[in-house]
Amino acid sequence: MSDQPPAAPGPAPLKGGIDCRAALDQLWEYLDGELSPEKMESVRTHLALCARCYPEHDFEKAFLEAVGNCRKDLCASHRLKTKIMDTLHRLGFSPTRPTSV
Amino acid sequence: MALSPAEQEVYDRSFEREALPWLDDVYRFALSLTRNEADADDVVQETFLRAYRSWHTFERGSDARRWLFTICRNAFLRTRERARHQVDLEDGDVESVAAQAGEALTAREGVDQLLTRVDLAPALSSAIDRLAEPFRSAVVLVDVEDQSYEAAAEILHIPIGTVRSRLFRGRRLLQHELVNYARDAGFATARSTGADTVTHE
Ligand SMILES: [Zn+2]
Repeated sequence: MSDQPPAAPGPAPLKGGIDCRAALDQLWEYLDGELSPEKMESVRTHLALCARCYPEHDFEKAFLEAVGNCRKDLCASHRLKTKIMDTLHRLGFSPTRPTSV
Repeated sequence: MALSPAEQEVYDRSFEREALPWLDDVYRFALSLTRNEADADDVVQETFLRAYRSWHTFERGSDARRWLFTICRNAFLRTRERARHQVDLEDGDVESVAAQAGEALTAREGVDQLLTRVDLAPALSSAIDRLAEPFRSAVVLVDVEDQSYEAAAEILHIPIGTVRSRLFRGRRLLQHELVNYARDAGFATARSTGADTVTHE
C-alpha cells in the first residue's frame, strides 16, 4: 500500500518469512491488530529478527500511543452532564442516583 | 413508549449502565467533528436524547459506544444543514490534500526524540484539530477512541478500505506536523527537515 511507512530496500526475506517491505507495508495494521492471525504472526516474526525494521516499529508504536493519549483528559463539562440528565429526566428517565453520569 | 413501571425501570437501568458511561467519549468525538465546544455540547445533548428514545432498538450485547458514535455523527450531520454537502466536497479533495503531505516521512530522528522527551499531547491535539476531514474523523475514531477499522467504517458509513486509506493519510499528515514541531523545538537535525514543503489546509 502506497501510504504505508516507506520500505527501504532491505535484506532478502528471512527464511520462510516476509521481507522488510512487506513487514513495513503492514506495520500500521499490525500495530492496530487488524491483520489476520497468520499475517500478524509473519510480521511479528520478521520484527523479532530484523534489526532494520524494529526501530520503525518502535517509532510508529510510540507515535500511535502519543496520539491515543493526547486527549485522554478531555471531558464533557459538568454543566453539559447536568443538562443532559435534565433532558433525559423530562423524557421519563429516572437515574439511580441524581448524578449517575 | 408505553412501558410498565417495571419495564421502564429495566429500560432506564440498562441505559444508565451501558450508554451513559460513554458520555465523555461521545463528547470527545463530537468535539472533533464540530471543533467548537458549544456546538459539541449541542451534538452530545442531541445524541443522548436520541439514544434514550431509541434505546429499545439497541442490540443487547453489542458495542454501545459504537452505536452512540453512529448516532453522534448523524446528529452532527443533521445539525449542520450543509455538513453532508461539505463532507462530500472534502472527500473529493482527498488526493490533493494528501499530496501535500507527501508519501513518506523522510527523516524522523527529531520526532523520535520528541516522542520520548516531550509531552506532545497539546501539540498533537491541536494538530488533530487542524487535520482536514475526512482524515480527522478516521484518526479520532481509530487512534483516539480506539475503534476498530470495521467499527469506524460503520460509524462513518464508508467501506473499510476507505477507513484505512483516510487513517493512514491522516497519520502521515500528523507526522509531518510533528516534524515541523520538532524542528521548531530544536530537536530536528538538518536532515530531519524534509517536510519543508508541507503546507496546511
Ligand atoms: Zn526488516
